[in-house]
Amino acid sequence: MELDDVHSILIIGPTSSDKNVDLSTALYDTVDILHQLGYKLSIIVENPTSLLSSGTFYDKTVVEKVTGDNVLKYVQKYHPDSILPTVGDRNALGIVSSLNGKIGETKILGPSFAASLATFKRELFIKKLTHANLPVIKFVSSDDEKEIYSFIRSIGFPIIARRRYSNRHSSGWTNINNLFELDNFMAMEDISDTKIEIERSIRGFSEYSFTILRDRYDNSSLVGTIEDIEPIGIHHLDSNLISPAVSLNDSKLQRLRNFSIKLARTFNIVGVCTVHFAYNHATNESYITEFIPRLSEETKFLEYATSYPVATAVAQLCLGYHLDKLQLDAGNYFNGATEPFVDHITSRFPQWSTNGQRYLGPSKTSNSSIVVNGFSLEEVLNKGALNDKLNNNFNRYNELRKLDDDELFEKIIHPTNWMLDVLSEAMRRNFEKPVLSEITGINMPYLTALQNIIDNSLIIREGEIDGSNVEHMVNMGVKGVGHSKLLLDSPDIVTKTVVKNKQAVSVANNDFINHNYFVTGGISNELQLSDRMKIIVRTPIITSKTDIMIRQFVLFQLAKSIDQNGLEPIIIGREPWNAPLSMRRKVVEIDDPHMEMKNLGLIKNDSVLNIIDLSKNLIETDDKRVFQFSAQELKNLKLTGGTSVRVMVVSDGENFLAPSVIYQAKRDGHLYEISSVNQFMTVEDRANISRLIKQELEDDSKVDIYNFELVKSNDHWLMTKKYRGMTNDIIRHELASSVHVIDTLVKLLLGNKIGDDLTLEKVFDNFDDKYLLTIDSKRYQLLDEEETKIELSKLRKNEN
Amino acid sequence: MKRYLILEDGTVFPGDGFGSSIITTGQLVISNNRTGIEQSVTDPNTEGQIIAFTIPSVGNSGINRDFYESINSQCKGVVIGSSSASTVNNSISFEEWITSLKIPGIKNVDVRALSKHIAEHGEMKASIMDTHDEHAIDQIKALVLPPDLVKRVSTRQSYPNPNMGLKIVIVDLGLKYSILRQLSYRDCNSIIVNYNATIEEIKNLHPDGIIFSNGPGDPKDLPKTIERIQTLQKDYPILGIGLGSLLIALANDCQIIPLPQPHHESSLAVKEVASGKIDFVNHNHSYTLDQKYIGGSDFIVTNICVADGTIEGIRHEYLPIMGVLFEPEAAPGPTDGYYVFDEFIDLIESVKQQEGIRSQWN
Amino acid sequence: MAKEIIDGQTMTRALTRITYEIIERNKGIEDLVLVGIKTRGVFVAHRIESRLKQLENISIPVAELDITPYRDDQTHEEKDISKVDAQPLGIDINNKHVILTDDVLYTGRTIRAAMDALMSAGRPKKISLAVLVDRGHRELPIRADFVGKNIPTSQREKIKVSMKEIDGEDKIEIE
Repeated sequence: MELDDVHSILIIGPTSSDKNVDLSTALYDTVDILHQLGYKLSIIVENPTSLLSSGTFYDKTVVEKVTGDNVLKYVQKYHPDSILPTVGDRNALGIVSSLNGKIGETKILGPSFAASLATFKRELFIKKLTHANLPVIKFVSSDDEKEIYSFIRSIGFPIIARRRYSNRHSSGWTNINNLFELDNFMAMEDISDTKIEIERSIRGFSEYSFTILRDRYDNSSLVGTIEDIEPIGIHHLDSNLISPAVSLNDSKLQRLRNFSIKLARTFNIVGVCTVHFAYNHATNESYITEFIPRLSEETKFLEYATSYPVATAVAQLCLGYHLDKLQLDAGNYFNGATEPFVDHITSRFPQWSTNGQRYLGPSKTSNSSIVVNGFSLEEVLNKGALNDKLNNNFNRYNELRKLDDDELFEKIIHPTNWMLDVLSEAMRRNFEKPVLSEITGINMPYLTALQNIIDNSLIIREGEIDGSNVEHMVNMGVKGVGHSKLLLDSPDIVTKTVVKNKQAVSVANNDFINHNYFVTGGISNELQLSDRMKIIVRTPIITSKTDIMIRQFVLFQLAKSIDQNGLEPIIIGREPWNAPLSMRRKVVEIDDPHMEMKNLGLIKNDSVLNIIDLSKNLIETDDKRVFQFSAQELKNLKLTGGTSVRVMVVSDGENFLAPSVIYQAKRDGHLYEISSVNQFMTVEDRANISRLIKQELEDDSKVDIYNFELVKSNDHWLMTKKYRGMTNDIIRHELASSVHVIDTLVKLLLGNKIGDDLTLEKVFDNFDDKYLLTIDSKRYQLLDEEETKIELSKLRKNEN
Repeated sequence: MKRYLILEDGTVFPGDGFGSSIITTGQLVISNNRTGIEQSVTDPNTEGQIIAFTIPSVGNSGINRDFYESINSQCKGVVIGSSSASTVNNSISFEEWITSLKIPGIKNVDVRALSKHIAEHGEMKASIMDTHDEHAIDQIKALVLPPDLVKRVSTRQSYPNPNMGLKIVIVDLGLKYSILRQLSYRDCNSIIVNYNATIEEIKNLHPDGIIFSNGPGDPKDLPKTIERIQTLQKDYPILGIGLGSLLIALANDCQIIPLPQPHHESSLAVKEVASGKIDFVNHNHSYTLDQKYIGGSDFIVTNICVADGTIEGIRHEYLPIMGVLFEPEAAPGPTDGYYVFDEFIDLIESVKQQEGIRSQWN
Repeated sequence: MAKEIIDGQTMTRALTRITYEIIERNKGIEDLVLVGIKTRGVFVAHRIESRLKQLENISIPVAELDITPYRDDQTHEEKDISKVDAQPLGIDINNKHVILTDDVLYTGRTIRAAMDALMSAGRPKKISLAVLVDRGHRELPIRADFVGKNIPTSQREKIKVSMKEIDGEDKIEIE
């Protein structure tokens, strides 16, 4: 029985802060299913790009700063039945915990108020967990020596301690491992009003996270487990992650599973909860370090790793559906009461936008990540962290080789994002593995895996590859990479490398249809393609959050349009795409970090209609079907004027359409932009702009997208910029325009023609009634004509 | 050393040998257990089986010798994909352990392809060998697996697992030690007897309740046990686990059928019919009860498997008999099913209470 | 301070067990009716009813009983049974096996009052009693046929039963 008093839902959308992770797919899946189930949805969001759609699912889309005040204002004005904070990252939980008692009858779905608050308030977290008999790191803050010593007696060494001064500042944490160090710390001169804070030290513990789903009826299932290769102390998302947690034996796994379920029950969290643990394998101590009662990077990763539709399930659980009676889309039931079983390892490796070394610590520094799949630790390490094409490991190796042993040891003590390379170098120099494990907190199996990889590269370097070991190499993920380029000469690589489905093999797991594959070694090839013609989309690695969102958006529109035009979309990339669930079942995704698919020849050449390449630099240019999608600058005149337009043009080689024009002007010291101003343009402007574009396109005879910028100077339009391909403006064009540029492009690639002698109306045709207004490049607002005018006149008033 | 896993139907999966180098043949079973290889390998239910584990990177967690489910290993062979030579807790490695148990193993096998093959063609015999040729396949086909699996694994002599609480007699059809662990935790004073123990022998132990344990093989191979249940159930509360529950059903007008997809998975959802509560429990069975015969019997269905709707638990309508097809003792798997032991103890207590009331009134 | 002695899971399990026992001791449940004593006894009745329905696919009638007019532990001024009108049960209990349900069994006076009310509403074939908790200290010769949990208590302690339907969660506390 779902909650029968909830009909309208306000969704707290994501912020555009770079600190938050990209949850656009999860957001799309959430609203997709809720919309299909008949709920009335509204959303407060900062950047509509993250909606991945032009708002069809929403009753109201409020583009505002996502803050408690704005949520409260909305609630007081529209009185929604409920608020859903699961897709709004950490910010949404903060908002929820500030709303207690202020929102009347409006319900909070998913995490309870106490749960939201406890993710921020350490004292509440400790109190609640202690009360529920859950293992939490005990903490004392006191100026009473007696209390401090009695606390230390109760927890034993090692501990960390610091002084907190009355001005709320504090000293750094000191590690205390024995009585001697404790005496030293306590003997330091006391300033009055100083409190001493002490907690159990968990430095060097292994980190695990467990994600469970829970329905209103107290049924819980463990969706997945993740282990960090790096120990506690290095931010989870800066660590290399492995799922499932392969280093937990049965009793450890069950213990942590039971703790996770108990925690969700303690806070009465409905929906999803990820619980982080610190585990000491030497003493079998474990502690809960934090919990996340919402969708997160972890759930996104697990959804990819297990094929379990986490976001879709969580949305329904929050609304009171039973765990075993969920729907993939309206009417398509699936049994959510399953603990997904995977027979492969999925691994997430953080990426940094700069090449240098970076010290790692408790705060996150990475910009993005890549996710790879394989059947062994060696395979995922080779495809991910040690993939030379992604990380320049060969250069790292050369640089580390120059260090003397002491310098190298320094690198082992102070962890950087080169840690795995540093350890490899250390093992090449025969540093002892148990010692390395002890110092770095990285568990032995990973060091053994690194050792195997080193041994392999030795075989390759010595040229000892032959029929007896090539299969073994391929199984370990060694491909034509870095110093293993010799392998490429082996014809066996093609026959021994196959494509496997990412889906798990299990009696309980037949519901999650997807076409999500990865390239690996083995016997049977599982790639299943339809007999439709294909358009292949090749995607590059992305290293910033803004780019991730644009990529999510563009890939989704591309795949949708390819599918709707009767073709099969195939997305191949080093970094897999997290397709929304509705698309996931139609698009073939292949994660291919070594870009081997081409060599494998598994996709019949004559079934490929086009190859759309999203990378900045084309890898191959001899294939006529390759179409470069990202912008190439062809012209750039430095000329500025008060008024300018940016026009996106699609051309079939003979004629063109300009369905979306962005107008930019200054008014009273404010810079503003309006998208899709086609209808406001004068006949004269249209004629002039069209003429200029025609001139530029005279020599081109291929289907292509162009972006032009024209500046109005002395009442004349001048062509200042020209790009072939897609610029970041695509988002504004797609969001605002009723004519979808991407879809038009796909149609033209299919061979459709625009037709000769179009009238100017037809060239600039679109039938929008909403306009995207941006003032001072700050935020988008989607407004109708009347509202646009009001906003613009406001600008003037403020000035006066 | 190159070795081959050869299936009865002639399919060959190459891999690298480890553990004992003998040639072995057995029933091939695909296990989707996430953890607890120690428990599976020593589980008497796996007598005569070659187990193929589909989890990736076996052995990272180390070998825990507290996890034995019997003193000796029971399975005939182990098939894995990748394995790790070192462990998080510096115990012996997986391969060293398998070697010490003298079990033949084969690694670097494409277990994904293997498990799909078995899902399509059903469970079959298989062999781990050094060569693969026609002769080898003929040998596998010709081999008849022994029908007396229970006899091989059941304790020959009765032994006690003493405590101060209720007295439970366990008929050992292939008992897992974790059942004893659960009973000890509940203070039960247990005595374990051979599968062939007579009614007299059991009665002379004056039990408060009787457990028919899990075990390997086809329940129809144990007609005598079925007869004994028919007599004993008139006087004693009975719990059947796994094979034991199938025997209880057969003793009471039910029929059993093979599962279309055998359940060998350490975490599969089971729903309690009365309350709708979902528990994740360990499964290791290839048979279930035929729905058609339940209506005509005195059993009510107490648990069903959420994934395929098959029967997982039964209870007699008026006699104190209950049975579960899954493994409530976990080992390996989630501990959600422990409550079955509490229920059995409640059942015994409730019978005692009734008897108490009756004797007061009579 | 209140101390939780029974959590939601244990309570759920106890109710399931009571249901099994009801089935076991009544060959056929056709002539059963459940009568819950207000307030939490009614929820106990409904929970047993839903379990019976899941297990046996038979819906049995559930009635609510408000026994405030019949209580003999109220002050003498208030009590005058002859003057109160019994609330109609809404179901026929004549010749039925009535299972009375309540959350806590204590002195037995509530149950006695409930039986008075039942008798004035018809002539049941048999009356049984199912309670979630028996805490002892009976003042009348009354015993429950189905008990979720026996909890020894001192008379000074209080037992507080919370149920999801009215209190938001299932638990039993002692204070």
